[in-house]
Amino acid sequence: MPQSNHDVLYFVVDIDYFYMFYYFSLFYYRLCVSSLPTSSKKMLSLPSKLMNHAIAKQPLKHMLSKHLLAAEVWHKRTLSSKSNGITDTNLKNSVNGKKSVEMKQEPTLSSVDKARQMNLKNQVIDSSLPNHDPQRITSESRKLEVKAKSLLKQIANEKGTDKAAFLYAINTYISQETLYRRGAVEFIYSAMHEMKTFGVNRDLTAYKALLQVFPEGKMIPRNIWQVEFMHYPRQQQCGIDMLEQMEVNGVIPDDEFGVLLKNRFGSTAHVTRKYLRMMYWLPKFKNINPYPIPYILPTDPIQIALFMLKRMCVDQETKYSVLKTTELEENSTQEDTYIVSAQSPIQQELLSKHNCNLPLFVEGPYPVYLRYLQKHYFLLRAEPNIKILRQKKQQEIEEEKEKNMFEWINFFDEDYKSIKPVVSVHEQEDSTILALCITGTCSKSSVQTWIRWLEKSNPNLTTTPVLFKLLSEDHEMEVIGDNRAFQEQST
Amino acid sequence: MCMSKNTLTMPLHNTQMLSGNIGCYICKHLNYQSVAKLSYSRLRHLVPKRCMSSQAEDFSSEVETSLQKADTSGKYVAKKSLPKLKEPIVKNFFLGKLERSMLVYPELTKEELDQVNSVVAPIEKMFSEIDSKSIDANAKIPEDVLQQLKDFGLFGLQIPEQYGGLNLSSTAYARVTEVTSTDGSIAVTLAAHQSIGLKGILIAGTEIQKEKYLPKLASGENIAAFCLTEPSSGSDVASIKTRATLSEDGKYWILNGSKIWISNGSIADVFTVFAKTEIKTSEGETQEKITAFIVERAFGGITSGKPEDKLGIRGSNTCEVHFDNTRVPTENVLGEVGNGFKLAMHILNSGRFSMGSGGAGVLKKLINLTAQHAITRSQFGEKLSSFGLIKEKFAKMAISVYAMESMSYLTAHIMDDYLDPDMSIESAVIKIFSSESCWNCVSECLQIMGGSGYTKDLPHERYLRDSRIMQIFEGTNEILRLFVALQGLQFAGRSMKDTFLKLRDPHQNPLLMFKKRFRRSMGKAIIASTEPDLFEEVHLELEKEARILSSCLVSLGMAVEDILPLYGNKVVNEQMKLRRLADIAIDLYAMLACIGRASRSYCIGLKNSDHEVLLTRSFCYEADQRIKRNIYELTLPGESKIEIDDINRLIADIMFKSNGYAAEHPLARNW
Repeated sequence: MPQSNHDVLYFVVDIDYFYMFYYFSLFYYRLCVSSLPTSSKKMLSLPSKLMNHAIAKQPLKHMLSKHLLAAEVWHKRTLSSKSNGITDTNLKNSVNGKKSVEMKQEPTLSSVDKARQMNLKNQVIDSSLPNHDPQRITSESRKLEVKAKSLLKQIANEKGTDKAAFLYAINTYISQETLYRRGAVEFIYSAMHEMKTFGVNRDLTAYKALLQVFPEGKMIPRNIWQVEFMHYPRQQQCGIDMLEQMEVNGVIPDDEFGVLLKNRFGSTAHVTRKYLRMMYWLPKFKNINPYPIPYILPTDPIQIALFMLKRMCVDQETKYSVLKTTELEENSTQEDTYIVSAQSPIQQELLSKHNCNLPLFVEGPYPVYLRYLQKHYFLLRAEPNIKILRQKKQQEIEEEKEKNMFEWINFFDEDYKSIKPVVSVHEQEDSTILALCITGTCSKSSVQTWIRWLEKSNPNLTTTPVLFKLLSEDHEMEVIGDNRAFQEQST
Repeated sequence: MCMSKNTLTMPLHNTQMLSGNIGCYICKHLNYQSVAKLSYSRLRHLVPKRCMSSQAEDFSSEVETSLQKADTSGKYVAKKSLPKLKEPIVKNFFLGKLERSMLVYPELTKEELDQVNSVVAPIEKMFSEIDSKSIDANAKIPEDVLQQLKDFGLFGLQIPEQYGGLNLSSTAYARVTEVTSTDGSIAVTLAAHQSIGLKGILIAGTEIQKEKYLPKLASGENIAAFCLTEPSSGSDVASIKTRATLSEDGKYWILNGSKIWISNGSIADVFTVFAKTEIKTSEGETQEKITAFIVERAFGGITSGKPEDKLGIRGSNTCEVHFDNTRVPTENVLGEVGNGFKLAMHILNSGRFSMGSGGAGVLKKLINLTAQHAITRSQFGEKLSSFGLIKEKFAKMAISVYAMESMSYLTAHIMDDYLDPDMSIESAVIKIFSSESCWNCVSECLQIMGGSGYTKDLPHERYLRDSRIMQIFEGTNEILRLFVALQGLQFAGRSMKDTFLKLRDPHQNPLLMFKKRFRRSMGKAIIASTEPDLFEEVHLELEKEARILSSCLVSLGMAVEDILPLYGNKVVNEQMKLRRLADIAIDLYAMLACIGRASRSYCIGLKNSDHEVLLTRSFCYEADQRIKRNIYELTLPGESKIEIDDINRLIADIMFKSNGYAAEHPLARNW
């Protein structure tokens, strides 16, 4: 699978459910907005870096990302109440490393424009300051940002990139800036930017520590005018952005975070209101996923694979086995990898009843995601059991006929089972799924090892032809006939 | 029907029947003082079975023909003279119908009663001396006790006299069970032997098989066991895996497989074994069908596992039985090859009715014991018996026992009085009701005893353990409930198919819909168009109860009328609805039996017959409440009703998805 598309799409595919809900609501808003006059649409302009990227790729994905990003931008604006006042001209003219390009960008730009864009793009990549209000970003704040960045970089070099180093960096900043906390906003933006490299972007304590960079008490509004006109707007906007980043990372603030926020911005400020709204919704969405993923994912690839299979297998009786290829194969040329296999007793039974003359198929690799982790799985399947499905359908039709009304067969009749077919969950209309696996390398040989291993518990498999229909890296199907030993015997 | 209350004019049917001017006890138009002059049994003698206004003529003609037959053959054939049961009882409830004559509670003749009493008296004496506690503790029935049981002929109660049995009628059998049930282990041993173990030979055995096995089984020299349950098939009888294959010379069946939870498994010498056999159908296809075999331990290849360590009925022997290439001669096939499933069902269905009287026997003994405690024990300066809550408990227990007894003896009588009546549903109803009442009543008795009831010093805890099995064996109560409801619904659907089909299609039949609406506004249904005027059959004192019964019948009819057209054949999957329908049917049958019995007792003036009327009154009140609730929950979601069944289904689905209890701990926090 091409990795690059996931950058744009990963938050769509990798679903935490509250996320889905969140973006869908925004998406819906976008649909409503599309009926507005063009001038108001302009407000929903996109950062061009992502835009260009999206346009270059497939149209469908482009559409999707367009909407999502537009929605995101809109969301930021409504929250910060800053959406008015941004026009095309002042965006383009803003020099301070900030830019935003109108959504309806012409695909053919002049070479000068392109060069300027490239230039701007480079600057964008450097800066961690967001582009809500480019006019406010002065050269002073750029300097402060550079200072903050160098501090973080220095500590990362000295102490490594982990949570302790991140907290140390924050403490260092605070101890240096005792009274005025000069450049707090820039420091927080830089730190937020670097959180992923420090591995703390999903860590609530890190966000709490970061919030404490803001001084206490000073920014609390004293009257409703101050409240409504956004007292300390840059600081508040920075706080809102922090909450936003937490949201994106699935971090739900807690009461302590609220206290910290209240001590800094008061209980009525915009940022606190955002916190309150988050605390209303996010815990409600937290456990809404019917197939929950643990907050902290395991690091062991075998455990991850197991987890993925467990989410895929609806049959609760499914048995999971972890295998090592080196232990299974005497052949020393075999690569050393793991295989995680899932098969339920019902699937074994289906396999044992399978007609040996009909081939089975091994298909894959198909992608499966666990939040931002991706793996590939293979499945062993048979052609759908049309007979039983048709029989079931026929039975349903028969039951509706008048002459059969009230002549039902129930479990007090001996023929109950033969007349009423019991269709298991594995017998779907397109195919009958017989087993699933995830291998470490996704290689053909590992899958063959898996099939050989399955033969031990499913003797019927040894006499059944198995066809491997494998997708290669560039999505081309590679069909490999069965070349296992029994075929040699038969020929 | 006689119209005047004050005259002694006979109802038409009775004058025809009796050709005399004596009344039928149930006819309330007769001044009941005049009825009281007549003995119930004399009346019964004159009206041989029932005063059936509709059936009277057919019945008399039947008797006539049987008498004629008797003349020509020169020998009295008892069976022939029995009339056929025209209408099923519980099945008819589902159409909102009930034969009025069913409210006439049957009775034994004086001679029959004396005979039964003479059988029961010595058994009662013997059972009073049995040390149930040690049987329970040692998990074994002592040899001498077993020998005593054999001497009394308790192993051949229903086996005909020609094979050395006592040839008891169902009624007498129920009466004896009442005594033998006072020890759970013995009751189960006996029941496994004759209620199911050898029943197959009685029902389907050939003359040769009967000659060969029944005498030894009747004397208790051989003990029988019933081998049906397997590890993979409990309630699902059709899925058994034990196989029997015909040997090449065609003389033997070779039996392979294992059976579990076989009562008498390690002491039995004769087994009724059910196994899958291949048979050829008329079209030449081979099919797997169940066949029953009589297997002797002497055939070889039979091994029994070690006895199970059970919660209750510890003295009875329960174990696994394995068959390894056991060679069964072809003449030992019970019934026809491939007919085993039906036979198994028949045996199980016919074995259940005695559980009601058995349970009643146990409870009566226990209630007497507990009452003794309540009378003597003082708390707060007052006897326990003076406390309202204790009184309520005793009353409820008495009501349960009364209903159990009434139902089982009504059923037993019908089994005796008619030619092969299908009492499978009634038996299931008795089994469900009595097993659950038993558990509740024993638990209440234990509660009244307080802490001492919880110790092993008193028999209460043993009875509690013993009674638990009743809800499980011989078909679990859940399966039996479905059985009752499905059979009833199927009967209703088949007998009024046209109406239901029309009800399923309201657009084509607007008139019928209008009619239904109209009937509903009158509190009536289409299928149960007339309210059965049952109160005419009972004593005036019980008129109100009979009216309750009538109205409940009609409301069951209404519920069926709603549910069957809605779900059609898919009603099979609506188990929660089926459960409610079965519960209603159970309550109706119990009401029917109670009202009939109380009416009889009151008419003939039995001792404490006014007490019986009170018991009936209380039972009918409670049953009415239960039925109303079930009807309320059954009727389709209307205005603002909560579909409680759907809610429960959702709850369970989530639980199974999360492997058990799904709610978070009360101390859990979300952030």
